[in-house]
Amino acid sequence: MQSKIKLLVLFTFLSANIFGQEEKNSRFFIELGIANKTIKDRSFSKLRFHGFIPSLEIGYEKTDKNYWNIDLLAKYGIVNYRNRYFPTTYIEGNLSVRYAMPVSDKSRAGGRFRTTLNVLDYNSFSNGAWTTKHHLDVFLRHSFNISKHALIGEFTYPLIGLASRPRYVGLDEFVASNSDNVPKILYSKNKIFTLHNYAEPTLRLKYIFKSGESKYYSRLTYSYLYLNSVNAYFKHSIRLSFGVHL
Amino acid sequence: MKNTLLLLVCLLVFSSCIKDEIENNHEAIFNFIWTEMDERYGGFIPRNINWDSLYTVYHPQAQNVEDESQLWDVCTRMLDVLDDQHVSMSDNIIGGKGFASGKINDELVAEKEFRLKNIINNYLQDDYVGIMLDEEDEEIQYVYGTIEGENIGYIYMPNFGESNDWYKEIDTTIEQLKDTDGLIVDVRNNGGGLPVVNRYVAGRFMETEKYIFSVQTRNGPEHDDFEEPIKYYSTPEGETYTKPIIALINHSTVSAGEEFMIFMQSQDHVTVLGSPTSNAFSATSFEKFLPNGWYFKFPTQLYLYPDGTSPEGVGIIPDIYQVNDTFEVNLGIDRLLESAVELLN
Repeated sequence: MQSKIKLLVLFTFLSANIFGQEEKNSRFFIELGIANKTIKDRSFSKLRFHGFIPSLEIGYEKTDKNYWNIDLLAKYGIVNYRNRYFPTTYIEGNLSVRYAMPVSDKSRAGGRFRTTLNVLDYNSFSNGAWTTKHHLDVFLRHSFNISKHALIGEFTYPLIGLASRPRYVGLDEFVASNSDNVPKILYSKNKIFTLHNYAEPTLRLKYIFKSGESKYYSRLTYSYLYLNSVNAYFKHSIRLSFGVHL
Repeated sequence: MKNTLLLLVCLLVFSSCIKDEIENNHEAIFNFIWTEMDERYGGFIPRNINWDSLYTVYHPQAQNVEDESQLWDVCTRMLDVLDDQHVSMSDNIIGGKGFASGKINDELVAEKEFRLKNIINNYLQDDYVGIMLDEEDEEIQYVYGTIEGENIGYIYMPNFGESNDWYKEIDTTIEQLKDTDGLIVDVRNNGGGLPVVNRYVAGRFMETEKYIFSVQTRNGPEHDDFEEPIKYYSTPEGETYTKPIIALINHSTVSAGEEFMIFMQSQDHVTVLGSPTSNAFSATSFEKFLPNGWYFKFPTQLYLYPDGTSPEGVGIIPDIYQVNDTFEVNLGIDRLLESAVELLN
């Protein structure tokens, strides 16, 4: 699998070299990728689950004096234990809005709002866990330009969030008596999370080969999640994606 | 401070910080099962289980097992003491081993005391309605109609699963049977399902609204750590049937089938006939995965009647006790049904 990832990296950067061109100020984009995820959600299992999860991201960004971005990201795939036991459907969807103001020629700082739905579903919920969270993050963005190569680094870190998670035993009477109303289960009984029980640093590196009109790019996203409600949730993810500006 | 630094290092870089919390060896697997049950199982108090003493008995055995087959035997013997059909374990191999606590002896015997085919062939009028639960079913599962030669209705409810849509027929069923003089509601061998479904159906047979039971879910490591109770009431819903009803139960009436019977037994116009139900009321936990590929699950709740007693460990006790003879069942005879007809007449 590692060799496949290396090939994918190579292909992505080659495609950026062949097709990559100058950035526009505002544009829509679409991005396909694959994330290498390691998960331990204690509500779900005390074992570590792993998988390669395909992703699709669409969005709009505007880069003037200030930076605006809104995007929708969906991930869907299978994780399992030791590539062998308990194949589990992993579903994630999130909506992000980023805004940043200039702090220097190449740096901007601001905030991000993100709302996320994440579900683990084993065997039609004979076991499962969910995390819905809405959080405000610090957002930093910096551009590096060397000759025709552009690298844009982004860093986000949550300050405060609101999350709904399974309770102590996973399935309590609230879940049992509302099993015909899934959104109510997913979006009720929220708790506030902040720095001491919630950490999710995310680093994104976007590479563009600037030549003529900008169109294609590649991106590497690293994130780590630690969310400690009654049962802690740990997640580690490295996602490689390549996209096109429309 | 050390922990904070370690956490920061973990946060920034390493997926290797995310580790399995159960080692893959016999003793660790036994300990995980015992501890998860200890910290989350809801039935210790009503079932009078001394869980620590079971550890004293079975832990040394788990330490000395030589293979997984022996470990399986030790673990299932320990879990079988609970006599709670909602406590189950599987080895996750197709066609492999499965276990449900208390199932081996009495539940399997009770299943043979009832055959729906006997009712259809020998007791119902020909214009009965039968619905298969899914296309793969070879036999009709949900049935309603009238008893041959009598103005008595009959409904058989196989389970309360949401994926099987029979429960949506309940209003039609009530409408069809509203002119009968009495009704037999049969939940023998009812395998359970979702509480929302049994509560939906039960509302059609309620006449008097009153507080009938409460449910509490474990929320801490002590055996008596429970959330605040949620109270349930016998609330009439939709078009109701309030003429005399005989409800038939047996020891294979399980889970949501039993909760349905709490509703039914709370009503003055319902008489319960049969043998005590399985005694597995509570919703189960999600499956707990083990590093050798096994998984197990167990109930996490406590059901209480308004007087503080619990049906867990007891089941629904019928107003009139009677069991079918399996020999007669094999001949097509259902004495419980015949008794129900006599009672209604």
